[in-house]
Amino acid sequence: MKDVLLQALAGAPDWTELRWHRRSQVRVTVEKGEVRQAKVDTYQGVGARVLAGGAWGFSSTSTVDPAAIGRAITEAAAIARFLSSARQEKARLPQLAPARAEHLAAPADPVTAHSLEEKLELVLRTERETRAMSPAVSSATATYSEYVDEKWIVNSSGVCVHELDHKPEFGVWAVASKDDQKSFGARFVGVDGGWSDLLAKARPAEISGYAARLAVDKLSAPYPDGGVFPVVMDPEIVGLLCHEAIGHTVEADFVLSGSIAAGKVGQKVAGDLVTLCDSGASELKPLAAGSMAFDDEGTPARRAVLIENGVLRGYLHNLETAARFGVEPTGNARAWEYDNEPLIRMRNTYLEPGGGKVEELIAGIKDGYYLKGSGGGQADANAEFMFSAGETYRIRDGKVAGLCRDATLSGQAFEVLKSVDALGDDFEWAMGSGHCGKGQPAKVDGGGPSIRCRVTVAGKQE
Amino acid sequence: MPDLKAICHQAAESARRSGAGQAEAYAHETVSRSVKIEKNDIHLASSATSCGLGVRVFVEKALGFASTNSLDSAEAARAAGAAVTVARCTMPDEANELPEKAALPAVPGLHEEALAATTMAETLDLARTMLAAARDFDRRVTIDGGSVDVVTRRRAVVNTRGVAAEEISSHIIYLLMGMAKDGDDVSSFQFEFDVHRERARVDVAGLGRRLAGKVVATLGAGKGESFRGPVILSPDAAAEVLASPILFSADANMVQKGMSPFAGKLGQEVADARITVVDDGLLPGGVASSAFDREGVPHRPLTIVKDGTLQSYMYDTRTARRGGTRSTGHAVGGARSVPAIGPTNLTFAPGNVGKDEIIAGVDRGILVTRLSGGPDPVSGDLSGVVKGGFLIRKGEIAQPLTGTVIQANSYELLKKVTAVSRETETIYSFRMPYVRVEDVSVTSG
Repeated sequence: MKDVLLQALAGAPDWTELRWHRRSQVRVTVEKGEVRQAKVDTYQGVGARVLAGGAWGFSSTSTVDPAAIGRAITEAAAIARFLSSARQEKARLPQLAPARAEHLAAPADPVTAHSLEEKLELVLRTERETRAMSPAVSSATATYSEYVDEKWIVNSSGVCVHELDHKPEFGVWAVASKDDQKSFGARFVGVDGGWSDLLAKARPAEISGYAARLAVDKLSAPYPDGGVFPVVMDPEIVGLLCHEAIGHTVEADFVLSGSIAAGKVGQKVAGDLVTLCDSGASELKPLAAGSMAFDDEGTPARRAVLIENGVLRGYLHNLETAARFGVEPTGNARAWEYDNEPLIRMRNTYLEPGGGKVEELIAGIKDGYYLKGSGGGQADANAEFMFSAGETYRIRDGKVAGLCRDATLSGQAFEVLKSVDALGDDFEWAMGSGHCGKGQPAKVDGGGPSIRCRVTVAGKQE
Repeated sequence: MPDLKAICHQAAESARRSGAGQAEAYAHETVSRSVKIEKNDIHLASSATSCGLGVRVFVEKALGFASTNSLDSAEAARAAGAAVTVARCTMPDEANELPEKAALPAVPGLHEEALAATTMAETLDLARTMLAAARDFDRRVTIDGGSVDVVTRRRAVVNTRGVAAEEISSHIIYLLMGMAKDGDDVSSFQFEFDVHRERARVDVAGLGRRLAGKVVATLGAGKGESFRGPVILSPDAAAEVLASPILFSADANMVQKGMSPFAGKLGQEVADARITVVDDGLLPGGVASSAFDREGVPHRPLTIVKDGTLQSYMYDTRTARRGGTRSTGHAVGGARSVPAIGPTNLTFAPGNVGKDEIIAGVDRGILVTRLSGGPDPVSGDLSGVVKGGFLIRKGEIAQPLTGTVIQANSYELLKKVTAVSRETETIYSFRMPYVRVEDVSVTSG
């Protein structure tokens, strides 16, 4: 494949990037004892991106032979030339030493060494055991899925990168019912790693018990009270806050269109305790699901410090925005599949831990909440967010007082980070399942320690 | 141009020879031209032809599926073999069955040559016009992103029970996302998009002005009031708050799995009598219109809720067999996955009052034009941050809102509808009116 790409590149008159990507996907879903999804999918092709006259053109082909790749280059070049008159701000590239590397180390015990039968058996057993946990569990859904990716990325600057990547995930969703009431509990885990890595982080018996118990307990739980409260957030919600509410506002493309973080480098934007980073490496703990050695422009996916001790230090860049801001690219250009053009995306986004124990963080709250796990959420370019917690506990007089129905948290993320007054030592990667969406999906991770801060909890008005 | 039906026939036949009792092949070829806008400028243009083949088999009633993005015959045979291999690992399920051949309705207007022939130069022009219209509307408008996509798709589905359907359709979709900035005052982030199947209906400048008007209107937002009272949901917000839980609960699979609050409620009241919900895969001009569903079952209109009473669930072949009924033609999905159940063009029937009249009737309440966050479909519990919301006082829009959260239960709200507007808006494949609901917790702070 390398030779085919390099040969096609050699004939290209403009700056050209070729990215061959082959993805093999396996997905098995069992719902209430029935196999709902059992699939294998292969998706491969070459994306050609050309920079000509300061504008980008992109074309792709699923036929991987020299003639088809050549046609894709010609098409992308024609589009770029054609666009160059329309584009006001001309794109440039930074001067860099091109990466030439192979990153092919498969994880120990790779998922590819395990049979489909074994994956199906895991899912069937986990779903069955989740329902068996309690007669109140009326339904459960368990899913295993994996992406095995291989890429070659070459460009006219001399980049030549070969990368292999394994990202499996696994989890279960339980629904409990009582009369007309229904509630759910879920636990999903995703890693960049192998089969035993995944199962060590997502022990089937543990995740079954967790999801079932949570669903059942929530049935009889009261709604939380509304208001602004001191809270302790666990690593999963901290990861979501870092990714969704802060991370997107510091993506350089978002910054250029006027996100709240624009023009604030060097300014105090969060509390002194806050150091927030995004990295292609699995920092501090292994298996973070957004890991990669190189991004999809072939740039090393290095660690980017975004906020250091409360001061905004920089943004997330691709080649073009790095040149525009006059900084080093951070390796954040990512494309979902061969037919997607690279966009600025996060990788593993996290808050640096401190030294406190979770119990100490909780002990410092007279009346508040302990929020664990994420039920998803959204955020805007002005860093206003709305998340729901997967598990919400009342804290009274420094002690966990009881489970509530899921709380919805909202606020402005930088304001929340200004209110952080304690950091735990319990760092975890906790957002490895599912995808981040920005026109294209991406596998990311997020995490941090438990933190204590203030946030608005939505409640009911009487 | 590949002969999709022939490829599907070959794949299904190959699966049958490998041991499948029943086999289905779905293939598509999609040609697209796209221009992307980023940070107030034209960013990138692309063209692509993508294709896919998905083979679903039942081997002694056990499911297997495999897909590939190549349409050559060696790959089709490989995918067929892989699907059979997968099926040999899974267990039998009596409900696993493919549909039989049925006559397909004629659906005019799915493909317009004038639209499909839109060139890259014209696509770029549309993008520039849309961007300029938004930026010229008000200098405070900033566009984060947007796109114009012209898509033509041919798709075919063939199975070993005689289904052999093929169709071509085309559409244009254009969208803008952005905000307004006035000094330190940043509006909430909004998006607008239109989808059309006819070239003559394309109005990119109108969309640009619409988005610009929307973001400028949310500048100068302030805190509102906390109370429990009426909320008027815009068509966009009503789709999120009221339509999405109905779609979840009317999914026959959710009903059969015990997840749907509508289970066992056919013929019962699930909403106020003002609410009638119809899903129609044959709707003229509808972006989700087509003659057949993902399994090749003919589309037909389905009344889900009539005057507040639950009439029917949405079925595919498998859930219909389990439920002792016929598929309603609601199998959805592409080539890369086993079909799921979903809506086509969903319409909430309009009411008989004007939108302005509804606003005039509210003493203290809010109008929600966009909501961040939606209901948990299982419990119906809803919490959302109001994005683009307005406080209403004494029948008039008083001010844009920020930092306001609403909380309610979507299934209860369906029964607390007190007005439905005459006006409806199309939001992708949904047609929704403005809806007034009561008893919502509004928290501002």
